[in-house]
Amino acid sequence: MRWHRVGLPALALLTSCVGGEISSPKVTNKAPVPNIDQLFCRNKPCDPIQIDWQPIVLGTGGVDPCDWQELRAGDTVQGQLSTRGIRIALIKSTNRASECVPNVSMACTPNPVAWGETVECTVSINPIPPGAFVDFGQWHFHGPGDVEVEGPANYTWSGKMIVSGFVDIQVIVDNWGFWAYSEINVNRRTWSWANEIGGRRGNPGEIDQCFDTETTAAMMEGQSCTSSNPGALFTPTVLSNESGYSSARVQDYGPNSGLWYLGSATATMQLRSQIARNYRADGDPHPMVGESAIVNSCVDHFGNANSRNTHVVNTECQTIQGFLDFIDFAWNHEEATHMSPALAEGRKPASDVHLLWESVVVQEGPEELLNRASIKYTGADDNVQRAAKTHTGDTVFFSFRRFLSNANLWPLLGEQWHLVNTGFRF
Amino acid sequence: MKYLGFNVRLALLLGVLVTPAAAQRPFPDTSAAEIALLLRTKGMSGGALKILMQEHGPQPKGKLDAIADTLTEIAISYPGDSIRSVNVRYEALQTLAASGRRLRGIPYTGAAERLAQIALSGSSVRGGALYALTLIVDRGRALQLLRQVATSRNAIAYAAVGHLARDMGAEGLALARQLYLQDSAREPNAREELERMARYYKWQ
Repeated sequence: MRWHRVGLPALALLTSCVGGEISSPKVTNKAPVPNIDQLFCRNKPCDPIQIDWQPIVLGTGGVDPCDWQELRAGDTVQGQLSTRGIRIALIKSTNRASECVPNVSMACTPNPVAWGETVECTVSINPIPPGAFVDFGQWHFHGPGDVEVEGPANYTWSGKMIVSGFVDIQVIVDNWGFWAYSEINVNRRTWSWANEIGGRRGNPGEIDQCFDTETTAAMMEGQSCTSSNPGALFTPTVLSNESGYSSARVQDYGPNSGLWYLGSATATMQLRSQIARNYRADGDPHPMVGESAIVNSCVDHFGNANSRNTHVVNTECQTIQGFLDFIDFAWNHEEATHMSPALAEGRKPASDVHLLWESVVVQEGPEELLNRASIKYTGADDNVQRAAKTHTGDTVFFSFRRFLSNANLWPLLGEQWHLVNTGFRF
Repeated sequence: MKYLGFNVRLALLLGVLVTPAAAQRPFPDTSAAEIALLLRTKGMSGGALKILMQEHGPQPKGKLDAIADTLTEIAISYPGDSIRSVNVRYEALQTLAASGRRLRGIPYTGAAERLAQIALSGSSVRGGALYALTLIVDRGRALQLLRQVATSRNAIAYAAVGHLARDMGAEGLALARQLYLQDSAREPNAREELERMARYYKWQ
């Protein structure tokens, strides 16, 4: 609980009587002396009077202001002042307990609260001086994303919670003003895509549209990459409401009233590695012309000189170990150098899209929800791209038969000729 | 608040007669230092967006810039790899990014430069900062800054190329084409991105 008090002149109703003496401990008083023109005593009937007086501080042996009561015959006076040579007793009216500073506290339960469950925050005032004026300002909730929710002017506020933050309320008791506030902790949903993301070797044709097979021997991309967005790793490639996530809104009137959040997350990262079609079993065939050794091998194997693709020439017409090594190297490179690091990064908190999205909350509406979700989405994508784009090592040479269309040949390249682009680019 | 006398309300609003032992209302809308403390300890920007967008009235430019610089610094360098730490960086970034959009009040004119600054840092939120540039009100400035990043040697240059082509409309696509034709990209992945686009769009 936090509070501050505003000290203002207060009216006090005091009892008084004329005459008599008072015996009591001396009181240390540094404040201005009230303008009292009547004596107080304990042995005579007392007439109530109304005067203005300033709050004073009692020294040691002082009384708890909240225990002060109207002076009655037989009471023990616990403090005194001297003014104009007249000793007086300092007493407190039960009608105006302006020095009786109440404790104003707030409790929110349960706290922490499970996501989506209801919390109830209640202000307590103890003690409430008899006849005191008590007023409550409006509740406010403050959360991340600069959200601010206004609540009722009441001593209690409850509702569904989806995000942690603070609630506060202004309380007035007589002339004292207080701010009471409490932090509310919401246990997060256990969102994560760590066990959902994955990757595999592409089936023939998968992600072909995402790389230039003339210049690139193999590639790793997301399953949803396109020719216009070839480097996309995430699905969907373009985020929108209901594509990648669903939006929701708190519908009650509690501390999180009206806030928009992500109700579910379906975005994923499914990676594919792929060998350039030229080297796959479904590659384009080429005329069997040129070097007689290979042409004869294909004729011997198939019984004709029909056109064949690179894969068939190097694995069926002849078994070229260099080609088999090349294929193995290409798959392993894509998986070890690109796919594995990408998946490892995707499982870290800074790149786990579902984990990042779990806490996105906005007040403005679904468009702003999309903006904030997209900012985290692209941030995560960049982290994964960074991890996946690292290339190590130099150009790698493999010796196998490739069709050179400008020469109508099937030379055994590698040792005798440099490969196109000085090697395979992975 | 009903029945509250003017003097009491004024006293409360002015914060007068606050005893040393008491605390102020927990969401000060004042200094960059207070906002930074709330961000670092509670992961909340504590009204910074309202101040940056001058929702409750004009604010001195120096104050806006100080808050924006604080948000930038936290987005770049708040340490840690936990989700809590990441979300602190994102809270700073999201606040700064939102201040440059047409949400409410007056868009903060210093948002774009600071988003670019975050994008060029090594922070884990740099990709989000670069994307946030595509959302700010000042499209002209966003295009300029994306071009600067795309032609830099910074590792995020490739992403700036992508945002120009896909997120900045016809103007951005034309700028990307210009970068390709003028061979302006210097970072290898940015060059590759442009080459892929050139094949797709058949740029001559």
